[in-house]
Amino acid sequence: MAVKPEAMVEIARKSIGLETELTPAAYPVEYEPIRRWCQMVEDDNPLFIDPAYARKTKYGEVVCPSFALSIFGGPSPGYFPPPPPAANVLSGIPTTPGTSVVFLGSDWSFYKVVKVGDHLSVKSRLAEYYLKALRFDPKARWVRIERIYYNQNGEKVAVNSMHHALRRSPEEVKEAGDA
Amino acid sequence: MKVRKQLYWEDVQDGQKLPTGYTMPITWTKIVHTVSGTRDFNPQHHDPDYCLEMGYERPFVMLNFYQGLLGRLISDWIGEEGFLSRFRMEMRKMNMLYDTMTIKGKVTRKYVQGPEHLVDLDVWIENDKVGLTTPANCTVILPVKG
Repeated sequence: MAVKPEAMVEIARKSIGLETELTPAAYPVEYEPIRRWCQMVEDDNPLFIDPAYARKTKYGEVVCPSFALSIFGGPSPGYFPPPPPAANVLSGIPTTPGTSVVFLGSDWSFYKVVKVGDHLSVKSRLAEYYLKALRFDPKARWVRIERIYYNQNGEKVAVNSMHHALRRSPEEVKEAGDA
Repeated sequence: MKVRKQLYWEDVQDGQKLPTGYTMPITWTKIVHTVSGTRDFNPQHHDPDYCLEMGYERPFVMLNFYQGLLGRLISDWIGEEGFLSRFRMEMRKMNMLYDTMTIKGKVTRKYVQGPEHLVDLDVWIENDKVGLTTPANCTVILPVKG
């Protein structure tokens, strides 16, 4: 019998506000991942891709485009090598085999410019976890996780709040008597 | 490569459209770029067989690509001295392989808060088949003249 969504919310509530350990990224902010990010969005801004130009600006180094911070903050889905399970802020909350994730949105606050050579560290915090109906699952779990980015000087450079919903399969909904 | 023109707060008009809008067709090559650029290796973003198995007609692009597209729109407009301070984005509909996205924005408010000269923007992504997919809003800090 799958864990009931109400039970998951009760367990999750105990974790709201708790933070994972501040974890340094494996690598510093580097030229090549920024270049590939810019290739993706066809951005030829020399501040992002031309070290010789960037060194002459007030920044003195290639600047990381705002949202490319996320690729320097830690492993992404399918990353090699896989991260340890403890890195997941939701790791203590039970789920069901058929659970699928629906991404809903993303909020950012930026505080400082990040440049090549900076070394970011990140900690995560479970900010919200509640029930709200989605198509196929009247008791989908809506989750908001905050990721807080710091530079090598301990300065907060950005906070990213990710919103997603965890929904069960129609079979799980039926099995739980929630259809 | 082209250095972006610097925008100053005094030159911004309430309601003006951002001149830095652009279109982005989602080709197979673009799918490769998105995996390379975001390092997001989830198969729903690049594996057509997996997508069909999961009930999706075609691979669809990911959150970080949306953020990157909107980020380019904003940084192209604000120039090197501008700073993006706040951003909020909703993912309402998917953008899939063979769709074309158009990235747009407009000014919604221009104001001063403490020492900062600020501009609020609505920015968004439209899809040629399903319309608005990704509404967002943000606040940028701009330099002032002299």
